[in-house]
Amino acid sequence: MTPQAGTIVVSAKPKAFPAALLILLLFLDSSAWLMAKLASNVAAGEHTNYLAGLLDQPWMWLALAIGPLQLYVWTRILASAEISLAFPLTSLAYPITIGASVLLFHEELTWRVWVGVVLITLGAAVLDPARQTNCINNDSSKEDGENDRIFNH
Amino acid sequence: MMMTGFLVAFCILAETVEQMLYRAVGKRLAPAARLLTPAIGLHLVGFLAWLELLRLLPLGVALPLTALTHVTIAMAGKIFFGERVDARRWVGIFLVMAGFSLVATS
Repeated sequence: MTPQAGTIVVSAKPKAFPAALLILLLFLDSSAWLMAKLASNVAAGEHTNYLAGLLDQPWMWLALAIGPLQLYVWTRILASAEISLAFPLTSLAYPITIGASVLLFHEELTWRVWVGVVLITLGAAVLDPARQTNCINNDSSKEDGENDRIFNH
Repeated sequence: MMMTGFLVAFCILAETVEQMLYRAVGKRLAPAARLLTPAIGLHLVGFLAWLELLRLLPLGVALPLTALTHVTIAMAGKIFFGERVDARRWVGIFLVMAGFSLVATS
């Protein structure tokens, strides 16, 4: 990863926020989750050995293949955006994914789930920048953000 | 239902410990390999649990449930690494917990 990205951003003259890359990342995040669920739905239908059945699903492999791509796009974003701004914005992937899963899989969600999702997204947006700005060591704070992104995918 | 709760708890616990190990790598508390090996192991086991969870729950429910990691990781950072939890962070923790409990009881 770019080890000095966090410090460059502070001193360099402001760059335009990489909105296109963020939209791409949100698309990748949501896609990976949705593909995993798609594979899960098919594999669960087969009943016999669910986890082994997952390995037969092309969607599963595609979802896994997206992982490194997500990490790459994320580091590209961090090259020109402050992590304290970029990371909370990635929590937009939650409502996008959940909205898409309602559309694609016809999942029926109660209003409690919708309100819960909004609260969690807001909470994540409030929490994460605070977590980043309190970090004394730039490298480790960036590490946190990146590893957060590796998980879940 | 009990299995689902167990899987949710396991996913959250696994990611929290995993992230603490990464944080420990960042703070150079031990040789990186000794911390990364269990972290990657936890990541794989956690991913299997996540896949199993996806079988049992709609994605729209599983995702917000495991988002409780936003809270647990902040708390664990405070407990294990003495990170400061300021007012703004408590607001975030409260919002995530409120959202989590709404989803969990629906």
